[in-house]
Amino acid sequence: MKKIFSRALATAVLLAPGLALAASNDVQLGVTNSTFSVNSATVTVAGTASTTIDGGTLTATAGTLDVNGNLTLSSGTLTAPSGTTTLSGNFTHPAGTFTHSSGTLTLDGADQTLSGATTFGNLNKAVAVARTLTFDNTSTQTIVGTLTLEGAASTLLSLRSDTDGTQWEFDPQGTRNISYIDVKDSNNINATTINCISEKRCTDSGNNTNWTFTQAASAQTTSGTTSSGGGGGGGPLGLFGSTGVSIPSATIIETVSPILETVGEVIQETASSLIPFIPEIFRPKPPLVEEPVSEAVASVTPPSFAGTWKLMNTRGINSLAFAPLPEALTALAAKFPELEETFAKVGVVRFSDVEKLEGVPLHLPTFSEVAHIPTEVIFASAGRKLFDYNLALDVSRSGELTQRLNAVSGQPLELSVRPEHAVTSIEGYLTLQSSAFSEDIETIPARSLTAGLIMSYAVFAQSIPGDVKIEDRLLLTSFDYTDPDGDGVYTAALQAPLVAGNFEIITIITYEDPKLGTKELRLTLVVDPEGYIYTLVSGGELRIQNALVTIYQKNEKTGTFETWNAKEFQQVNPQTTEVSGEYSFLVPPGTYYISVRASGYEPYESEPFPVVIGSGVHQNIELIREGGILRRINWIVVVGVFLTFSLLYNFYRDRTRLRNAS
Amino acid sequence: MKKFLSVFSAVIFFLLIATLWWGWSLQKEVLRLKANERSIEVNGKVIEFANAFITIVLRAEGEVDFEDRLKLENMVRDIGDKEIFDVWSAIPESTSENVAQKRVLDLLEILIGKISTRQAGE
Repeated sequence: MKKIFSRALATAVLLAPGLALAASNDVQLGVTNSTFSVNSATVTVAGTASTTIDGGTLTATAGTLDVNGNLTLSSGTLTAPSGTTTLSGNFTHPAGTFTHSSGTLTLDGADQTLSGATTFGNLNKAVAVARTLTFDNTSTQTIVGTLTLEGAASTLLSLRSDTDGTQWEFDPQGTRNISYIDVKDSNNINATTINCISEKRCTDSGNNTNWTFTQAASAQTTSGTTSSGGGGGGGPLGLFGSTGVSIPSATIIETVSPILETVGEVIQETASSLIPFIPEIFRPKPPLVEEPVSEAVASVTPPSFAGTWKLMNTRGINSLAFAPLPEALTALAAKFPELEETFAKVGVVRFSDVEKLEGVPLHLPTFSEVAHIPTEVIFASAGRKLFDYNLALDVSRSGELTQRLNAVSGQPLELSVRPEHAVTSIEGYLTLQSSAFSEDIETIPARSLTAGLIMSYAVFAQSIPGDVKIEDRLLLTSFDYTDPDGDGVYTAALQAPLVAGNFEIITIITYEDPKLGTKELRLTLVVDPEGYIYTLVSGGELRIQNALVTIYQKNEKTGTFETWNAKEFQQVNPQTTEVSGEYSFLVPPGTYYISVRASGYEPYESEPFPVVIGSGVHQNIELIREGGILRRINWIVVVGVFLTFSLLYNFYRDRTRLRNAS
Repeated sequence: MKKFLSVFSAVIFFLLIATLWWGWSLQKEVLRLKANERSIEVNGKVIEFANAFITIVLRAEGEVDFEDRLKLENMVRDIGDKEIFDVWSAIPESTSENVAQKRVLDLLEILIGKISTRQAGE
């Protein structure tokens, strides 16, 4: 063994800061007047090397001391640092003076031993794996500051005497941080009992004095007396009643335990083998996690629950709430000041306000209502602009716009558009989307006579790069918009398709300025069939030819109904039906009723009904043949009546027979 | 008499078969209803936990104390859904605000998803 600071060292030695001694270098101060001052330095005795103070003085008040081997104070003086002394080996103090300096002795080794009466400032041993701290049973350890003895949930720190069954003494005078320990043969000579409650998982292995162990199942207190529970050190257990035969509890436990364990295993295995035969619904639910809830929830609040973080990122919500209105909506509002005014009045100013408009039918001004025709918006009218098709506007939650117009199949359509700049040409295409007509027409009661829709999906002018491409749909017709009067409004006339279904009108505006390029406007057109006059026959409906259909308009001044002046609107009133029995009227807003006359049928008159702007009138009207109800009698009715009368007669005969018998 | 016994035996046999069939149908229905009941029960727990999470954590003005965290931990364990439990357990381990935000959103998404899935008859 190489010794430094040997007897040759007769005077004070001042160590340099950061001195580290190698594993093979034991430290021994053996001369009475030798002094070893650490001052503010750190002395590390590495490896398993030990430090022995045998007659010298080691003063480390202002420094730190880290001994990875044993520390022995045989004689002389050891003045511990006021900070931390770390010791991995055993602390042996048979004689000499230990001055704690109110510092902390941290025991960071594996199984360690404290021997010799010593007064510590703070004593600390915390382990993550199962370890044992052994105390000398012949001396008392005094801790004036904080005593920390901590194990872990499944790895307890055991406190034991160096002689099993003989108590070791200690006097913890300050704060006690004690958890997950297994104590045996301990005598707490301090006046204050050590409380080790069940949450701290302390195990009483017996022969402990002045400790309190409160178990979950039953409170077990060892206060001022010797504990009798647990591990073999307990007192005798009286059995067999008055016979007075006493068998030590340890003996009973040792004898019975293996038997109980075997029985338990057999029961466990039997139960396990039966589990597959139990329906799943009756099986106990397996625990989600094994870790107890009290351990899973940290006593220290994690940062995420400390209230300093925003757990909800509101950036996306804010950007949506304060986003402006969709571009299509603002562009439309700019073109229709009335709409802009409406939006302002109802508080539609941001994207988040769009949902207010959902389900609310807005009506755009018609061609004749606008003082200044907005550019790049298609208007639909009929009868040389005497009729304006209704421009109802629906707004979806996402801000998409849908326009609705009212018309009937075969009706004339006049489309108008005002380009923003000078154009080379404006062309229109009518394509087929599907041949099914809207469901709305079927859900409207026939008597309301508000059927006949042209659904129009308004996609406002979009710039399209390159050549215009008409989709691979069935192109029905193409037409040109013209401006014969030079007022800047281009018009085109076409007839709504006779076949019911969904169509699309694509309008292509080609500007003279190449920079402006080409723009397209799309309208989805839903054409519904005309109304017809029919009568019910056994095989279904029979269309009626030569029925005279007349529509009457209410004169708002006089309150009387007058025959509607159809000539003024390039139509005919009354209309005479052909083989198909079809008819239709396109009338201005007002209150109307319809009357139908046909030879051999009872006359028909509808209830008065209102017509909104640009709505077509076309309902299917049933006429009843003259002759009334007799015409409805057929063989089914006859048989039904016969059977009913037969049953009634049978019932009558039974009653009569019973009366006679009685 | 013999004929009567034959008819009687046939009726008894028919009734036995009918009873067995009825019992089997009833058992099936009971199992279905029990599964449904469990689904509703779990659904209620998920909603309760989501509500508590929003009230205790998201609406918290300051620190969420130990008792509240313990309550939430118990509630989430009571649901018995590992997916929810794992995401919930990850929140306290978040190392930054962004990570915590993402995990909170994940938890809310899973909770809502569980509710809608179970309501759909899962």
